[in-house]
Amino acid sequence: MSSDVIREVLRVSDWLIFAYFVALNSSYLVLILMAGLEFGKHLRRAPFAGADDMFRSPLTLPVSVIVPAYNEGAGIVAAVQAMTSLRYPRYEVVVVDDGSSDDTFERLRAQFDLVEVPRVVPGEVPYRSHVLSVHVARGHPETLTVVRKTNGGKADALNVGINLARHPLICMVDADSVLDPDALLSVAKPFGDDPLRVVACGGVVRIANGCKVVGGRVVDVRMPRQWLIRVQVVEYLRAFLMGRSGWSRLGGLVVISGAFGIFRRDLVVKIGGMAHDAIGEDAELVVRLHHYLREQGADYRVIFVAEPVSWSEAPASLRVLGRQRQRWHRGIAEILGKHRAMIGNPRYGRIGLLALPYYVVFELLAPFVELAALVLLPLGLWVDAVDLAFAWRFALVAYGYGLLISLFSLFIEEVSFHRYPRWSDLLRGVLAAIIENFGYRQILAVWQVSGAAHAWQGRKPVWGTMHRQGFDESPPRDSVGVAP
Amino acid sequence: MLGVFTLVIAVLVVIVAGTSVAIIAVRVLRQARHRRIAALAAGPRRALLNFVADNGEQGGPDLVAIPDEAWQAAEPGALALLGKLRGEAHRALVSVFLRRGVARRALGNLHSRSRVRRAKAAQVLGDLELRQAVPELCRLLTDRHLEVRVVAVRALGRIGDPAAAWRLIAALDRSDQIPSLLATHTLVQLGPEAEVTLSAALDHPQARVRAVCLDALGLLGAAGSVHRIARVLTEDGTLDVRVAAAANLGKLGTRAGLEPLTAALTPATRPTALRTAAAKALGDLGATSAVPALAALLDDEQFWVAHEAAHALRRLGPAGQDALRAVIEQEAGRARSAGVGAHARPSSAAGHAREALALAAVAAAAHEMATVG
Amino acid sequence: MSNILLVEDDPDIRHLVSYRLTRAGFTVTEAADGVTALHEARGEPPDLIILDVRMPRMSGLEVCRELRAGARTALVPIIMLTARARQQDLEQAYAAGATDYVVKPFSPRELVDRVETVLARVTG
Repeated sequence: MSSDVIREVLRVSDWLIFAYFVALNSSYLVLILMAGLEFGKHLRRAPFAGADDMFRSPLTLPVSVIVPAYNEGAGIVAAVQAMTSLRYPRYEVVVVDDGSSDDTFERLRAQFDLVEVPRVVPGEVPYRSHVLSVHVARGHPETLTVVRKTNGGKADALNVGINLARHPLICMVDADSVLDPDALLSVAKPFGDDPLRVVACGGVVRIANGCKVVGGRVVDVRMPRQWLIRVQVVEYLRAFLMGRSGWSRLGGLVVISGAFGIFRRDLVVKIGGMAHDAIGEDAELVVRLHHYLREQGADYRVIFVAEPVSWSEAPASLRVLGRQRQRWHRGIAEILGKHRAMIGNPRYGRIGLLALPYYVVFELLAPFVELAALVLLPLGLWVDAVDLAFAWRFALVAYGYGLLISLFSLFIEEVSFHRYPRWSDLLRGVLAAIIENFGYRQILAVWQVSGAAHAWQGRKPVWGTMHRQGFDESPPRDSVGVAP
Repeated sequence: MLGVFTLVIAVLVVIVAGTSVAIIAVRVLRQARHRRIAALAAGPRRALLNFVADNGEQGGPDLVAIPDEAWQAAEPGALALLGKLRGEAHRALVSVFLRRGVARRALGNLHSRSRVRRAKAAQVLGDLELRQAVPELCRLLTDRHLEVRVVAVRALGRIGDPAAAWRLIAALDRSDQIPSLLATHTLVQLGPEAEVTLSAALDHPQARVRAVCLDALGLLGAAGSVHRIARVLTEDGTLDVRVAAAANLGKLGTRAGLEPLTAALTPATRPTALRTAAAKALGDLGATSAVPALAALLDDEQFWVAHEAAHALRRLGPAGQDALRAVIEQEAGRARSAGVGAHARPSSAAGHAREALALAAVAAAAHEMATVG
Repeated sequence: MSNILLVEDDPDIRHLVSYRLTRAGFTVTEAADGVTALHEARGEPPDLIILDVRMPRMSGLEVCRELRAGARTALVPIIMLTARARQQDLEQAYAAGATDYVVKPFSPRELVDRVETVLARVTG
């Protein structure tokens, strides 16, 4: 009797899981379609977009690029050199040394001939540490500022940077990101095109592993050598490039990468800067921005630009990758918890009614369903709730649909940006797409579930130790924050 | 049920295979197209470059004789070249475009039903700096679509015919707006002859229009409008406009701006944005008689007012920097007489003053490095 | 006959300037990026270098600094092609070691005139 009930329950759950996967992948299909339309529109308008005019106009809004740095000694000089030679008319770079224990500051001081100035630090945005000293480059004091402070975490470093930023737009960049030369121009352009409404703009982050990086610029785009990272490349294309572009077009962009995002300084100050207690402080800022602006009834836009690009190093080992995804998922859980009043609330428009609920159902809960599938399907087989013929077809359709979505992403990428010129890399991408859906996502689900669990238990966050060695085979630095 | 599943799997396999094939096909086709275009364009491109390099002295008829297909392949590169050249070479290149009928086609496309085509045509006419296109481009300022209007504005700036000024200002008066900075930049490019129109527009009922015209006048260095602008500073009803007036009085650098700017600094009940802008403008202005008024602001309650006052003093040369030093010494003196000495907590005024002086020292050193090296 | 090294990543500009300089009687060596340029310059120091500021891989400013630091290339006159002519851009160019500059968009004729003037100044 009861075994019949169990069997029925398992059967129903298996079908529910199936329906979930179909819904999840179909939603991605919609997003990819949106993204494709957006890229097409963007590329068709490139001849008269006016990027050159923006570069040459003396009125283009100046930008403060804020770079929080902690023990970045190995790559900091190259990074700052690259960041100070971007193609943008007027901007400054503010490096915030968050109490590094290595020679990060010394290297900067030597290379850029830094001289100390007793700058009065405005307290517009709260910060929890002490500013030890402020330095400027002797040769060009208007373009490079380096702040030394006691350690306080990335959010705190950003807040100090925001305080010292002199320009109306602030661009937050990770110290280990490599930017395309036109990246700042592209990401600031929406502010020039629609100054009354655009409040924040995110840039796409691509994976630098395997690419040739010379003098702080990506010179040759190649697929990484390890399959673990190749899979991440496909994942980034699908989830970040396509996903975020799609959401941007729908007006529901909720996350902007901390590795590369630009904001209006006055609004960031108004909402209090970065939150100190959040693990995904970059995403949390955007959600809070939405919250504030909706309350104000403002007509605003949060945009995502797909090109050009910021490049980041992805984790090369399963352990580091797992910790990263654990952190990201914890971040999502925390942010959704903190702003739960917005979820399903019509007062918050598309964000409240569409984007946030989507995040709860299809981002937060996805790994749970993924794991449930891994458990319940074999279980169902074992108790004869489902038969083998059904089971393998079920798996094939559910995961196969996911594979299709990944391939669609590759297709759209090939049509619009085609950043990977080699045929071998194209083939690797296709193979990686298969691995992503049959193996990778399932493994990731374990860490993601644990990350969410940590959030709900209120456990203390554990920051990984950071090894910075540059873009090579060596293990990469543990980056902080939610998904780029 | 099972049958449905199998069917779905079959469909999936087909689509997966189809997508993979499509990816490959897209790449193959794109590479083939690029190769073909490059091959087609190679000859014309070389001929074009040589023609331009000779400043148009030789080879004109050959360029006109290039078959259409080859020209189409070479055209984008040639258009890109327009933005990179000046002088005779530029004129020579423009003449080629004209002789091939590019301008005629573009003028025709300004009436196209597709907004992308209209915008592209406007862009080309701007790149060609075709003065004859100005009336048509002005007509485009009232186009239905914002992106077309934006390209028209940019093109008019590139061409630089001051006759477009009043049409441009009129076009600003809309709900779906051209970005102000773009409008200002274009108005500036129209040159000093547009000043009269801009000055007259300072009475326009829309605040945004007034602000744009103020910024344009400031960038044009229109010293003749300084009294008008001073009046805007004291009398305008909108704060943003008054702030713009203050900033631009500073840019103009004429003495007539001194009095209204100084008046805008006090009392402290005036809006902070205005006082900040006025302080900054006094630094731009460069009149040392403003030093006492600015020095009095160093201990202002508002951070940015004190900050701008300090940096304005820095820019006012030795007189301003002396005032900064005086504030620091005064405070040190007060600390000494109070017997506090090194334990004194520096006031914000001294903090701002120190910051400004330090930056002045760095800037001086940087300037020296640049001129010597 | 003077030997000029032309460092410019835009192939159209490169062709154009090279053609004009050749017609004016100079020998021209072309380099499409900074790395090649340094290689060429160090191998056989030219009489003058035309250097574009904004290039991929290595910016013109860096190339200029490297040239000034090398023994064989320290005294070669360098004309920078720069897209912006604001005070700080020019100061940056001079600080990196440029001898003169030409602003883009530029006139090829003026560039050749500038080359001849600088060469005359150096040799005269």
